[in-house]
Amino acid sequence: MARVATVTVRAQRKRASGRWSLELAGRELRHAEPVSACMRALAAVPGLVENRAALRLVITELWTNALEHGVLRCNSSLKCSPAGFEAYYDQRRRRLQRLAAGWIRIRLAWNSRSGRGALAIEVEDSGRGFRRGWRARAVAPFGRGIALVEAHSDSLSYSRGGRRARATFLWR
Amino acid sequence: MTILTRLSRDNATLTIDVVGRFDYRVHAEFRRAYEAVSPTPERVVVDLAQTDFIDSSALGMLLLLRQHCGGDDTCVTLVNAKPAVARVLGVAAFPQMFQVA
Repeated sequence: MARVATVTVRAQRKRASGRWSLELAGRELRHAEPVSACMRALAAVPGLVENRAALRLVITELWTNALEHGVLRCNSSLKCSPAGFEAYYDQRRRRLQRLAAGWIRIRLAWNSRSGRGALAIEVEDSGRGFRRGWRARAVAPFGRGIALVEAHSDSLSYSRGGRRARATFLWR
Repeated sequence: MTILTRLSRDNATLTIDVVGRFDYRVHAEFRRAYEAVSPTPERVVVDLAQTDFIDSSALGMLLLLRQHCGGDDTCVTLVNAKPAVARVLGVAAFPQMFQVA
């Protein structure tokens, strides 16, 4: 079973804080749809409503990278043609079906006070990591995920050799 | 149905409506929407009025459509994007590669 842990949710009159995490391993990753679960966990955080679209995008992109590149090691350069694009998603489907090992952990932690707040989203995977710095050519049909996360969050950093991504949101 | 298509009466303009989430789940359906039309229409309009969400995989699909239509900046028009979707298109510099209306 996937492990979901809501460690704490504290809410007082003007303060709220909480943590939530989800860990999926092996076969659990085959049909996992964790983005909606994250959005539900964050639904009650005061002040986050206006950020919902950006939040969903950031979590989606970080999850996609962890699954497709970290755990499944799919090859993005396949995506250069319509046939290759399908081949990429065939590869994703086949590797997911056979997947027996590997894991992804998502951690959310938030704090808000008097309408101001901060949220950290961490997505960590069991893959080999990667080196940042590569950028897509303007018309290449892949390679935009990280740039989208950077533009839709307040910060993005990687640790553990690229295996752990951490994006933050601030609001006021 | 997530991807709907309409062809103009003179067969010159193909309009593709993307309903709901525009992400990898619709990639095959989206490709069929334009590859099934022969000859290739002069203009393709992607109507995003009912698109609630777009991610990087959908940006790839739009760029493949652009390639299919000849690869210049005028053949594909993206219309009616909601603010959150328009923001993603802007970050990816799509207004420089597509007609955006």
